[in-house]
Amino acid sequence: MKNLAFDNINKILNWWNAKKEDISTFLVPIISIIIAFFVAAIMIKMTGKSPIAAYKLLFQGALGRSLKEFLSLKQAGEGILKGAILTLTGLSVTVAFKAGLFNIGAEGQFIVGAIVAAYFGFKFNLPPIIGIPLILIIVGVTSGLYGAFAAWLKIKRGVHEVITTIMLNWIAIHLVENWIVVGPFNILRYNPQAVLAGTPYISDSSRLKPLFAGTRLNSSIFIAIIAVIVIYIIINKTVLGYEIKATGLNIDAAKYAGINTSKTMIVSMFIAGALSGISGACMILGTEGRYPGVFRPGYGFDGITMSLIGNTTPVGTFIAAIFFGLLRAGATGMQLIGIHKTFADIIQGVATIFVAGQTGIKYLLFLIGEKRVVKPREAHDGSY
Amino acid sequence: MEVIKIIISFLSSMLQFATPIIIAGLGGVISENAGVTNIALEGMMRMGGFFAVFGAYISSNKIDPILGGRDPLAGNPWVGILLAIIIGILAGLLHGYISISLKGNQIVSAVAINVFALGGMTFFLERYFNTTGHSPSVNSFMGKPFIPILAKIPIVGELFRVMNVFVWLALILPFVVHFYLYHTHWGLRHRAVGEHPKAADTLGVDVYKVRYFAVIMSGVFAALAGASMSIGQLDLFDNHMPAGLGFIALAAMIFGKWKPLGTLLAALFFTLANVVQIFIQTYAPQVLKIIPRGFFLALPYFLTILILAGFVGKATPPAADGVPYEKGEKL
Amino acid sequence: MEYAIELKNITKIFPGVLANDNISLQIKKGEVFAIVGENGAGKTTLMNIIYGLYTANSGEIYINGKRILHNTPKKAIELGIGMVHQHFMLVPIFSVYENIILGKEYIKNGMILDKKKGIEEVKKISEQYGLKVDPKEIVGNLPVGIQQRVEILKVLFRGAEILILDEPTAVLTPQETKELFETIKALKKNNKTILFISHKLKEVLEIADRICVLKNGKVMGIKNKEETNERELARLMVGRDVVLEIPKKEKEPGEPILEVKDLFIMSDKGIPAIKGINFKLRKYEILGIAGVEGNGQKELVEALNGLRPIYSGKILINGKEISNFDPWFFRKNGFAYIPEDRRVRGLVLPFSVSYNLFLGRQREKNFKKGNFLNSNYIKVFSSNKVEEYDIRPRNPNLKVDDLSGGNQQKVIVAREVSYDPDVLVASQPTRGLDVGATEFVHKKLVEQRDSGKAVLLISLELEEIMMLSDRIAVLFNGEIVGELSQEEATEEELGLLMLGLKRYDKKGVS
Repeated sequence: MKNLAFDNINKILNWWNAKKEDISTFLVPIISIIIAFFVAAIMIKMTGKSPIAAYKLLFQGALGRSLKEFLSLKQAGEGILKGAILTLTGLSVTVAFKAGLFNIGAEGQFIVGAIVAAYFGFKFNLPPIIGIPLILIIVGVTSGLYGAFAAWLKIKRGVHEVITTIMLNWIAIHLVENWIVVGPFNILRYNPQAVLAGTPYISDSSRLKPLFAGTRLNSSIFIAIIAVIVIYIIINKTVLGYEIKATGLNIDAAKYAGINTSKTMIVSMFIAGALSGISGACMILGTEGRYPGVFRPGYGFDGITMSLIGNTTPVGTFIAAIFFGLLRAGATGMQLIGIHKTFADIIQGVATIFVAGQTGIKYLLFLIGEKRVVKPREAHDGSY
Repeated sequence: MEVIKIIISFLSSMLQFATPIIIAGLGGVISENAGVTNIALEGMMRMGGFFAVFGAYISSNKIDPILGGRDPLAGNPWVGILLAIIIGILAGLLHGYISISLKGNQIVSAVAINVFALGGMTFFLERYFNTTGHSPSVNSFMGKPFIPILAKIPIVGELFRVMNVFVWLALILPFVVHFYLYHTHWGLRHRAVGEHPKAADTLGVDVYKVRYFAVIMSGVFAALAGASMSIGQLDLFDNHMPAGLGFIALAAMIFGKWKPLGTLLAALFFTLANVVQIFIQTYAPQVLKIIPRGFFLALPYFLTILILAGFVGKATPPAADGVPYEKGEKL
Repeated sequence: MEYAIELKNITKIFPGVLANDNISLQIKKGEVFAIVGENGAGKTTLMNIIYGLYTANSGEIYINGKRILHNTPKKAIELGIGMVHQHFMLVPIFSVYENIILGKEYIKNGMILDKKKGIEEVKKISEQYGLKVDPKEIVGNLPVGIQQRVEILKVLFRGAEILILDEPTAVLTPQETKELFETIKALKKNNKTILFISHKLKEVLEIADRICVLKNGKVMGIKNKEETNERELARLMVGRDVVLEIPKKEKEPGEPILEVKDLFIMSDKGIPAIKGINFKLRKYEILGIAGVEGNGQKELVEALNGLRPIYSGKILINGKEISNFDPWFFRKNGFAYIPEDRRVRGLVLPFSVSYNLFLGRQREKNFKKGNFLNSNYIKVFSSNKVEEYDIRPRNPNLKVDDLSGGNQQKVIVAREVSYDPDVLVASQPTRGLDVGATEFVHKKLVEQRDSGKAVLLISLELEEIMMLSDRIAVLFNGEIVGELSQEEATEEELGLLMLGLKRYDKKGVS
């Protein structure tokens, strides 16, 4: 009887020991997010407010007050929209990660994509079915090249991509906001009476329209889902994906085996840049309608955390992005009790800190298996 | 006379603008010379900036006669500095714990700290000052020359007038750090840990200790840099702070080849581009039609890429920069 | 009697490896004590335990009769132990004196680094032991022999009475080795105890007083120099009298496939590492390249990989000159490789066995369908290979990282042979492998030769070269100083060539 119980426990523990590496990979982000909510709750408590009330508002703000409201997507639409934008920048970081590159430059690529979309959205007046894909292609190529430039610098000149992409972010920000938007492509050039800063509005045919009334959710979500599927297939099923992964996991072996690792890195950074750019384009063509005077939503930087929390896999990134998209939308609801919506950043930041320090979490998880394998007491020779 | 005035005001603007970049850049120098990258300078500056204001605010015991509550102008800015230092230590400790003890990814850790600082400081701003714009004005070092007597000197006194405690720090610290790194035995060990931690370890240098010290100091410097913006250049914390200066500091550190005096020069040089742009705007706005502002602002980043790529000079980071050190086991 | 070092029952276990198995040793004061053994015998691990870099799982260490608990490098230094590591522990951008004084600096006025004193002291100690160095020179610019001298000075500066030299001759030229031995003798005269780690028996017999043989982490025997000889030590080291002969088919070498003409290759430092070598490699033959490590092997192999550009000269395969120095181009033209470091260059460790089996071939017709991987073919292909090469466990979906070293090497051999190459370049293909896996690799190499391939074998193990090669070329200082047929080659003759004590006329080499 006793032995049977041991058998069962040991069965579970053996299974855990065999699989713990893989399972931990899933558990780490989830545990990180849970801890983050706790930390954030303490912060709310500090301010003298009720974390439970706050989280209730957060939840209702994210998904809706009732099942019916949730299904109508009126409330959740906003979060899903944000999630779509985050998915694209997150995927951008994920693709680069697979090739062993750290794309801190999603922000810059996002901005390049946004301004290019604003320009062609304004210039083109084609039927949406042709015009919008065309804009997205142009955006993809431009931002893609901007991303690939960092890979090129790494290959040709040995410059670490983290530094170059950071620098390229700020180059993009300053050139777009302090030159293009205020200079050659300013709204005043086209409409001297305009009172707004920024670029002129894009043509109506270039707009991504809301899917249904009462929400801002537009077809960005379809673009994001298509991107997830395409990237998933590229990484897991194609020859290119195989080469990207080989390069990312062991560039020496990949090179030795005859894989053109330079090309692989450039292609993956091109894809990464294109995805971030398309993300920026979705914002311009969807919600913004033009490039505003100052436009730094930070989705590029957020993409990094989406990818990390999503375990740098396409599907994981998507889940993380939708989750944090909803969280951000929901956080707006918390303003009712005086908690600013950047509250979502706190949760995101704390969760990422724990993902960064995941060896700590893994260590604790692994202890479960190591220490608790139950053994019926038997003769022991005293050594260990 | 007019020309001299312009020059003096040019120099004093430069000093003021360069101050946070120099101090934060030195933070980068200290950390990276021990082998830990720190792209969290931006986030750490933001935390330091907020808590400096917060410290100056809570040290006030007076009641605001009109609004009630604390009188923000009656506090002590030195408490602000103290609080900034404490938050810098904590932030450095966090980055150090993840990077050194847990051997986590240093970039990820830094990104997380940046994200947290972004949301966290807005949260605190709202919590304590009921706003998401900027804090009320507090008692600060803004416009308070550290050595008032010098400010009385005719003409050049103008320059000393803007030199508050942070500006002096920014001018002195590069030499202190230089002295530390190149003329003390601690500095020798510090650099050895950044170049070849194993070699240092085999000689009995405690690699973890040196790295923790470096990252914590880096946090302190970055936090002070943030404080120099909020209670040095201004007397309040603006929610946009530090508006990317942490990344310029990173660029200055690289452009300065990871050396303290190089970073000082690079920071001054980068500021020059910015101040020239501002002066052109004031005195010769037509020039901006030919060379747009964005070009001046993007210049530091552009030059940093060029120098890293070896198109202008060559900058090589410390050999073990960013590489976690595994003590003992497995050579 | 009190010993300088006494070890009692030291055991060290790494995940999956028993590196030191119950080792007990007594080392006398003032003697040169050598520890020999093959790669992976546990020599370096043992030294790192003495030096406090590793902690033994069990066992006791006594230094000068005192038991040492919780050993750390710092403690070891205090106890007068100094270690010269196989891979130098020098900061390249620091000067000689900075490297020497690091951690034990002179300070003036409470905090200032006293550079002048440091330089003086370094000068003093270098004169005392006759080890000439310029204290102000930057270490990264110095030749290897001098760098080693800096390492020795470093430990002497710390007042070391016991010096551990870990494979000190591996990177030295014969001249430098001679100088090192002079140094060791001088140190011995100064009553220093020296632990000399090596796998070169001749050297050990020349310099050591007593010799301890390690194998698979166990002590196989401790011999006085006078009472032993190379043959006996070799037997203890390898654990068998005769090397297993691998039967080769009688084959006349066919037409040349690989030709190397007047090849010059630069080292990382930009100085010539290969200086105008020529050789031809024919069908049905194994050409062995023998030589002491650091005589240009690394650069030669990398050039033949396409990983390192050549400076001048030609590499021809099947009469066609290689024009594009990229690994894929070499492979496309009929090269395949077995690397010396399977974990770095050979395998993508997080990939499955299956994925590793076609690394580099993913764009070949069978492995893809359009732009997609042909998973059906890959499945069949990899299960066949796993079967054929007896890769265990027989599951192509396992992570290759979870396999043993020998099975990992089998994965590489399976992949490279399946390229059906014209030339197979094997660079130290059995490094760190156990006897069984070594034999497997050797058999496969001979099989390739017998089936009409040309095999180039670059190895530091003379035994391996002599056993497998049809012809042996000796690389010394970047040049081929001699070439012998398998029949002509004796250990003595090769030894003389490898150490640069003899050379044949250049033209004799083809």
